[in-house]
Amino acid sequence: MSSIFAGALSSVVVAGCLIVLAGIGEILAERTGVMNIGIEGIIAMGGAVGVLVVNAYVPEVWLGVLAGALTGAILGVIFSLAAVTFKADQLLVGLAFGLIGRGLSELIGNPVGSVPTLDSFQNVRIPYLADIPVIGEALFNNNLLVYVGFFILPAAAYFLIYKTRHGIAIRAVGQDPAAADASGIHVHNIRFFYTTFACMMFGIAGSYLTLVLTRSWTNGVVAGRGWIVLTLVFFSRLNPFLLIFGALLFGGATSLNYFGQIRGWGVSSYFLSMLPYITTLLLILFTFIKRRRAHPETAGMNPAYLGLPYHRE
Amino acid sequence: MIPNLFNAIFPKWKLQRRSDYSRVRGYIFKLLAVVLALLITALALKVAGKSPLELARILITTSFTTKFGRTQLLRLATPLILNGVAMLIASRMQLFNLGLEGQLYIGAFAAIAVGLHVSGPPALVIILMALAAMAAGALYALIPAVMRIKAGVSEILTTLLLNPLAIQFAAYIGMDIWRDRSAVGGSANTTPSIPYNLPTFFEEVNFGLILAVIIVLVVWLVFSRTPWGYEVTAGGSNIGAAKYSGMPVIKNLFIVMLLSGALAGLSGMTQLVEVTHRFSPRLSNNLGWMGINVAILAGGDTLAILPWGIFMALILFSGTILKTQGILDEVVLALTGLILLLASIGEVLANYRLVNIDKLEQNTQLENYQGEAKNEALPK
Repeated sequence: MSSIFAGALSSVVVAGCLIVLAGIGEILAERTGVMNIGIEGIIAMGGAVGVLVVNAYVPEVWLGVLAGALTGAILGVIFSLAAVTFKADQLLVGLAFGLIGRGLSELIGNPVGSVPTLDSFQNVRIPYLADIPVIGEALFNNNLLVYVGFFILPAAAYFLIYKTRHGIAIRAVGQDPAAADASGIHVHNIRFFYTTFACMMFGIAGSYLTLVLTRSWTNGVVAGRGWIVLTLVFFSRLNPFLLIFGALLFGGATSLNYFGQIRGWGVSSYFLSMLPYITTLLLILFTFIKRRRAHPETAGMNPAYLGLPYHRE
Repeated sequence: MIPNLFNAIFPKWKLQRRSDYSRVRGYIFKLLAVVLALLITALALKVAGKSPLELARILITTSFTTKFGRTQLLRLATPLILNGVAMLIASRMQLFNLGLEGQLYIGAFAAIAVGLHVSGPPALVIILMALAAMAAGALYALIPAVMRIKAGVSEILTTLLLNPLAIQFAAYIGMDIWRDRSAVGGSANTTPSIPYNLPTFFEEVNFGLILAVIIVLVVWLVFSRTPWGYEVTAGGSNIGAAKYSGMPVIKNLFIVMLLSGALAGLSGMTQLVEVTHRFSPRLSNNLGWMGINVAILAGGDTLAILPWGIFMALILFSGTILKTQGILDEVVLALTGLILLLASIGEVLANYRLVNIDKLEQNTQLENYQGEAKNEALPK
């Protein structure tokens, strides 16, 4: 029984890692006031390019992730040019990237689609910690990206946002860009950098999806995970550690599907596939109701300038 | 340290907001964006070794000179126009209903439920299907509306999340619960087909299109000629002021969102009855998203939905043409995204102009000088 539980916990962690990888990027971008609703498309692009590199050129999983990151960064520069430099409506640019990403990724992924990837990550066992009963195997005998996603990235992001001078600049840019500008912070550059960084993280998350989670590319493989990232980031109130909680919950809802199939619950897997979306919706609904009771005036706890361009007049 | 990347690339230039707003300039920039997106795609096709001019010729001749092409084009335009209006109605109250795709699926689900399980005279069943589809679409739009109004959750997040949920639901229904178990091969992963058809006029114009055009005209009349339309527009432009002047803003938010969902649901029903006849997760193929594109290209102008709807149908139809030429039709999805991206930049550029910094400084110096002269002229 305990091995089944450990296996389930492991699949929760592996599924949730994608949310953390992409979510940390989006948290930083939203802190600077840029909302990207094109996550879905950029994840798809990172996933398609990652599989293409591994299956068609070099069977080396790290190069696939690197290619995914590079793809995300290139798209991120275009996104930032449109939404930050040219100050186009962030929602429209995000929608456009969703469509471009989904269209192009299916084009790129088609030649290498539906076959297993040639290389994947090996589990790296951390001595002593992996021997902890129940949770040890899941948390400390996993692939390297899980460690990066659950331990290094959130801690680094938390430190950056709350404990450094640059973090104050990031928060100021999202909260009041005019005041930040007046105090000598480069509003445009900070927004540009973190928006691009976020897109790079989406690219990494995409290659993680196809190289670790599904281990193949199929059309529509992202299946709304990008929008779940967006919602969970909203739920986290842009706090990296709350995001981990949301990611684990999502991972739990996702792994119920595998679990149900393995154990033969007799519930349709198509039905179980709906659970992650319903869970995420209910999660955000309840947290908002609770938050609204506590703070009736400021229900959203987001930066005041989220989604708005800054015009230096 | 560079203060602004834009200045680093173009050191002599600055974006300056225009003081006047011109509708014509907006149209021109949107058209420019569309042309530029088409040119970029043509270039990409050329690099891939295809002849874009030849493809364009085939597309134009097929879609306008053959009966098959015209019928297909108008059938594609129907859901695009309906979803475009749905998006536009919601955006009148500053609501972004990005969940049209999901509402479309739920509407189509209600329609197939009636179509498969209610028997009666075809006309009656079809009317029932349409009503059920509209009710279901509206109910599905009620979820983000309630969450926005009662709990303050942005409708953008919830509608985006409800799309994949609806598609998973469609997979559950089409591939599992109501799956056509007698079928083999291509239609094995869908529900059984329904034996109903909407009438066609002049052998080419489908009934759904006529319905869509009537709806566009009615919506245009309501928003430009009735007090309620004015109330909605006022509530969208300034919620505080509208509330203060006693307009039922919350009620209107609900009504607008429900109407939007109902129209998206109706488009699911027309798609089901006129095109697929079967319910599956491949029913829509991004029609809801394309409807959002149509509304954004039309830019708040209700009647402009019609030409842009036809245009977007042409773009989607080019996917069918590309398929016959051995090119994946996913390129069309990327093309529509590119159009949207360039149109959103064009929208900004229409309100801004690039000015040379040297000239700007001369102008401000001149203004300062004139200002000083004015101050001196004032009596002490």
